[in-house]
Amino acid sequence: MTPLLEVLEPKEVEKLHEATLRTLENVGVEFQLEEALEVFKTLGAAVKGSRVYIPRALVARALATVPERFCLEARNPDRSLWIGGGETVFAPPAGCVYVQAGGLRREATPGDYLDLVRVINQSGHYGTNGGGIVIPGGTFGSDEERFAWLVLAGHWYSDKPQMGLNLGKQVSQDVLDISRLVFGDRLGCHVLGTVNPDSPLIYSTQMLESLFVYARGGQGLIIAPCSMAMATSPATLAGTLVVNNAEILAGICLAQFIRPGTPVVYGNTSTISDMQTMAISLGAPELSLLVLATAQLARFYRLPSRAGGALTDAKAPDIQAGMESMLSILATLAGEVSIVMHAGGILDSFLTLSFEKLILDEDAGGMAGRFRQGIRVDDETLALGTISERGPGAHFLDADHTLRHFRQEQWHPQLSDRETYRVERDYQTYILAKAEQVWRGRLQTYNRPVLSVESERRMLTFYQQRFGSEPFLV
Amino acid sequence: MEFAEMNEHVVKGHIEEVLQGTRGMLAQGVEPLRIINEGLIPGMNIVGVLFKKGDMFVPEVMHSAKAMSGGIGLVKPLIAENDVPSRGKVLMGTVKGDLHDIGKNLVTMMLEGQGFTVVDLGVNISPDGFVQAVREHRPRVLGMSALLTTTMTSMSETIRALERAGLRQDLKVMIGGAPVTSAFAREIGADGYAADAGSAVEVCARFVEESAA
Ligand code: B12
Repeated sequence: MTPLLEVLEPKEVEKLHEATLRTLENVGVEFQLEEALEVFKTLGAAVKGSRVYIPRALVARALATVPERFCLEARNPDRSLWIGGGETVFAPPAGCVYVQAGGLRREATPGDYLDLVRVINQSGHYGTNGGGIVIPGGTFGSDEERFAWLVLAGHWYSDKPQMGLNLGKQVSQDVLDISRLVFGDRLGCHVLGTVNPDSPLIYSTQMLESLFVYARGGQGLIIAPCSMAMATSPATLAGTLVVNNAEILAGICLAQFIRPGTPVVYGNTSTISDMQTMAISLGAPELSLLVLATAQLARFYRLPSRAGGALTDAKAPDIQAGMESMLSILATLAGEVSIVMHAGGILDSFLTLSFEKLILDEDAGGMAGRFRQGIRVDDETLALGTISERGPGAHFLDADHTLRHFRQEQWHPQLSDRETYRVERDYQTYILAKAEQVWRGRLQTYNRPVLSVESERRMLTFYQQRFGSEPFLV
Repeated sequence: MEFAEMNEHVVKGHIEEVLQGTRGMLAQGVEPLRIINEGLIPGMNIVGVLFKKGDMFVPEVMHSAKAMSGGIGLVKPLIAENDVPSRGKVLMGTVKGDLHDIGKNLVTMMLEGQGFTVVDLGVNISPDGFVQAVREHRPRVLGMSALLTTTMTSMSETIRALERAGLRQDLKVMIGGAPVTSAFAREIGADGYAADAGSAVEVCARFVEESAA
């Protein structure tokens, strides 16, 4: 059996759903964009000021047009991925301010971003790439150029599906324009971007502008609040889920009403606010419970989900980082989340990306993934033939049955130390050094996946015309 | 009600009791300023100590602060505005383009709890908006918060705008937010930086002492 972890009983899901509908109908959601208010008005929702009261019939109508799963296209079609439908896709971090490599924390640079895209392109763990893995400093003519460069460079150095970036109309428009240059006439979902409501129960102008751009372009949207229970949502996890669920459904409604069938993901990155410092706490067990509930609610609505990650508040890839990241990535997989941003590398509550941890978490994800597969019990795996053939006191190393199964049955670590004790080894740094070797090795063996000369020319011309400068590509 | 009992109600965050107590004391003719200085503020000082020790947590501190301000609200109309004890006026806001306000709200709450008067401008305040607000409110300290690397630049723009408007000399500027560092604060010519709300109070206290000295 495969262990799917669920934390809500069916009738508890119903209760949350009902409480959410009441919140949408009676409290409403604030949409800080006239165009969004118009959409709801046209459909007969009550709108007072910027507050929209969404009747349950409209929620049902929106849910009826959302795809249960969709294909996120990669420029290399072999690397395209299904979002939803039972598989879990790992995505890299997003938005990190700092990088840490070899123990030192510093501001991320454009060069770091390119290295990350290269390392991730060669990873068997991360299914997607790009977006703003880190937001580098460095001199760009404008922030719009900085964001457009991130997207262009993601496509340039990687043939995996790309994550998007959202900070208002222009940034989102650039994201879509650049992917169009890469994909040419190929239809489908070329990019997956996130829109965050501003909890509790607000959608800001900027995020709504982005939502419109993506929905009109038929591109993938993750709607994901990041509330902090006690601060921006109720202290209880159930109350937090009601607020979050209302926010997510309201966003999904808007996306579906703008363009029915828009691929949307039911996302949630909420957790608690620490009672002493009020700091966001990603290592909290409460986060993992919310991850499981999010995946379960998404299944209830027949939508793909986004939640979780290999998350921690630790400032270094240390024991705290390991404990917390394992808890959250295990919950993510055991709950069958569809797409997982921040699936590795995060330190310091989303602020820092550690190169070593980016690799370490590939193993955490691998372990959790194996756990999720559970124990297969059938005539072949019961191994009765081999047991009777070998009898008492034998070993199974050279049995045919072993040869048939061991590679599938066992997950094999890239880094974990399963050797005997070596006196000459410094175990304080051993695993980190191994992780460093892995990412450095990938940089050395990296080959850029070919882009057609035609696409390259189109991308460069676009960038030059739009920003009057050459993109930094080395 | 005795002052000690009132202190206790502030610590426990008993808003109703504090309001009742304040009304009672006023009715008995207790001098309004004494109610603030002996009944309300000492309670909040105890809260400060307990919070630092980890024996009280943020939601409890907020209730205590609410209880104290409730009491002060009743007493205030009876005394001249300048007599209301305040450690100084602080203006707070998040910079242009930045909607992250949880940290700023916590700093605001802690400053109020520790006796500062805070004018909270809210979120997404442009350099011009800060200049106008400084002109209007004449605070001792301006606190700016930014959580995005792309909005941090607005902090230095605001400082330049304050200089141009001739409002910089008498004003202390402190900045904060997760990506902000003390090095950045120095670089843009801010007077102070704090990594968390507790240190923000210490920074403000230092500013006020300096300008008093
Ligand atoms: C919660 C959160 C949100 C919430 C904000 C809710 C709200 N009402 O504030 C939501 C979901 C709305 C949000 C939106 C976005 N966010 Co956000 N967010 C966060 C998160 C996870 C936590 C911030 C927080 O509240 N921390 C808790 C408080 C208590 O801590 P604090 O703010 O640091 O404050 C303390 C100190 O810094 C200090 N302090 C703070 N202000 C001040 C001021 C002064 C004067 C002083 C002295 C001290 C001081 O004292 C405070 C108390 O101790 C951070 C990650 C992080 N670890 O910081 C990302 C983060 C800041 N967000 C990020 C991003 C990218 C965004 C979005 C662009 C998301 C998107 N869709 O792409 C939008 C932008 C919105 C906007 N225009 O501002 C990035 C920033 C990337 C970058 N390089 O700039 C981060 C780092 C996460 C990430 N890796 O992606 N976000």
